[in-house]
Amino acid sequence: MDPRAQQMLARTLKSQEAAKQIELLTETCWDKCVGYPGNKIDSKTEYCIRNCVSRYVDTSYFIGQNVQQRAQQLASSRPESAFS
Amino acid sequence: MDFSSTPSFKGNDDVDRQLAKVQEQLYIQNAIRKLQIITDKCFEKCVTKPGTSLDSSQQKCTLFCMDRYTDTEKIVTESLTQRLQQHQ
Repeated sequence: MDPRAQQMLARTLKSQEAAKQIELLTETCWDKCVGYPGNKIDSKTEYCIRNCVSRYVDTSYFIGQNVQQRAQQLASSRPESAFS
Repeated sequence: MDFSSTPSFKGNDDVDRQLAKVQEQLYIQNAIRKLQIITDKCFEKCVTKPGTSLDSSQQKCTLFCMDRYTDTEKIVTESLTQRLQQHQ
């Protein structure tokens, strides 16, 4: 494939990934924050949704860091204990 | 219309067409899935006790629900973009 097409495909895949992430987060934060639907999203609900998104990102980073730490601990510990 | 400025090698055209097809497919799939999700979420919220028909209050709730779900998606997209920019 020529580089231009490859770039376009990569961009398509990336935007699809973003769309999936937004879809998932919308579901999660809808479930957590939105009650019985009225004629608009009130400010309290909006605040909850914004926090929900931010904390989700925090949680994702936090878990990422932790997994990395654990992997390092595992790698630096004695080889036999790594598999126990 | 003048297309003379657009490079139109045969190979490129074909790849472009394939890519456009993939994008279209993804767009349709995403739209169908979104419709399913909204149906699911709004059914859950509005039709708590299914009766013999979708009564007017359930219909009203469902209409609100569809719009509020779209609003939620907008807020999520906005906050996610902001949050990810902050970190980088």
